[in-house]
Amino acid sequence: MRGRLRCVGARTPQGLPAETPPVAPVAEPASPDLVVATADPSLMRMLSFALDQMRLPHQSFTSGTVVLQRLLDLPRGGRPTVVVLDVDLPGVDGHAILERLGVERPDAFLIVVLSSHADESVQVRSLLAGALDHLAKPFNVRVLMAKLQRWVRIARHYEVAA
Amino acid sequence: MLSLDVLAVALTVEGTLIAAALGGLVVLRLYLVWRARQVEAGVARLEPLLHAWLVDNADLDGVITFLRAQPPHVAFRSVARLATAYVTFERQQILAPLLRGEPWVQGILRHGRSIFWWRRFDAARLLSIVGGPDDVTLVAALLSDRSPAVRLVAIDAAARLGGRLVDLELDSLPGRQDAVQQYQFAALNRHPAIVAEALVPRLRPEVPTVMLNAWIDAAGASANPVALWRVRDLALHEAPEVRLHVARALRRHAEPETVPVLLKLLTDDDWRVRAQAARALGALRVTSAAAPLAEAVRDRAWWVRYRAALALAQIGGEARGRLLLVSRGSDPMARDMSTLVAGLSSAAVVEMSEV
Repeated sequence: MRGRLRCVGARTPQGLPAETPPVAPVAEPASPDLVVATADPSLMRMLSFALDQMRLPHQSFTSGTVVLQRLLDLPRGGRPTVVVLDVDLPGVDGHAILERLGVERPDAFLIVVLSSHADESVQVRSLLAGALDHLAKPFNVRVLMAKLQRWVRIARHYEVAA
Repeated sequence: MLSLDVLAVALTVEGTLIAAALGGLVVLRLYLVWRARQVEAGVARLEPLLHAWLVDNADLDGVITFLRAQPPHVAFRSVARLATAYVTFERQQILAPLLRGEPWVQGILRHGRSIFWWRRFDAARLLSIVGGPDDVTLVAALLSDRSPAVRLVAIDAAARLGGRLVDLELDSLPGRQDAVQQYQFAALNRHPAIVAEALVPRLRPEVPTVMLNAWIDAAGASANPVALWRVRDLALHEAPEVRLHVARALRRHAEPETVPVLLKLLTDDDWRVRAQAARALGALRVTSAAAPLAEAVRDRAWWVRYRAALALAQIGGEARGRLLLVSRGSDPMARDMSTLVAGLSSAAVVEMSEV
């Protein structure tokens, strides 16, 4: 499933550049359920491992520029996409992505921000910019997975309701 | 002829020494690269075991057995890197007693009193992950180590162990640099209940100003309501420096009783106190403070005008309307300030309010 969802610029959880899509091209779904963006390879591996355990299909990105473009390119309408967004991304940082999405595609994403900063100002900035949650590292990965499972279910419900 | 021989010998000896020194540097470099690769390999193999425990609640035996089989420096650096970045404090509490009895851990902790600072540094770093009640004396010694790097790392270990060590840390606060204080606050905040218990009895008006200010800052950083009640009682302290720290700390105390105290501080004789009171009212989003804050935008001190305007922008709604009204008023200085702040984005307002 995840092999099919990878796009140009996406990276594998092992931190290696994704190659040409394998075998025959398969149509991508309108919007992915879940997108993970972090430049920390170890964190990416842990999140991918946890999401695979939960059977939550996801796309992985290690560059702020690429993930922003990918999110902006998603078709309008349909269900919102849940995004796990690390603040420390190369290219465009997580806060800038959050603010840009808030302006250009409000209500299209449910975003949880990960940051090594637990300062009040950083948390407030994330939440005011439209983040659903802000988690300071190290965070409890089991708690994050439970939240993601819930949010993905809510996002799917939006589509049904629409 | 003789002088040429002497010169040849001298050149040979010198050349040999230089070659040996260069060779030594190359060998040292290769050794360090080899060790770093060993650590990277250790981290890569430890990672899946740790993930299985963190995600699936898998048994920790695999982690412990793996670490036991590694050279001590590999085991230590792998744990230090992964545990501090990805393992929450609660999970560290499960890991610590299992690791504490391991021979490689005891070997590194034995260096806690080494003459080499880097060995004491490693011991302090490991104690911040595996430290237990038996390590209190060693951590206390490391807290007053002659190396600043060791002292800084020991703060984490002290906060983890609590008790007498928290008292030692609180007492050391006034003498620390601001950046170190911030690090101490972050470490102490991982144990809010223990810290509040030690902090509350210290917040008394008769305490020397320097000490009191540091402890008020600690109370503000902890955002502990019990400690902040005591801080609020210091709002009428005779020293303006204390009132300044009180106003700054109260921005984390979102209780109705705090509002009249901050409004009183907004009319303080000292401009620094007024500025911090305005900042606190903005941070707490006190809508009822819109009128006094609009008045404070006309303050004679630039810094108070700036803080008051930012506070109105932070509060939003009717308060932002008042800010726009001031920007069309007759007072030129208030008009300039409100025009400047009214043009900021909401993210910029949040960011600037915290600086």
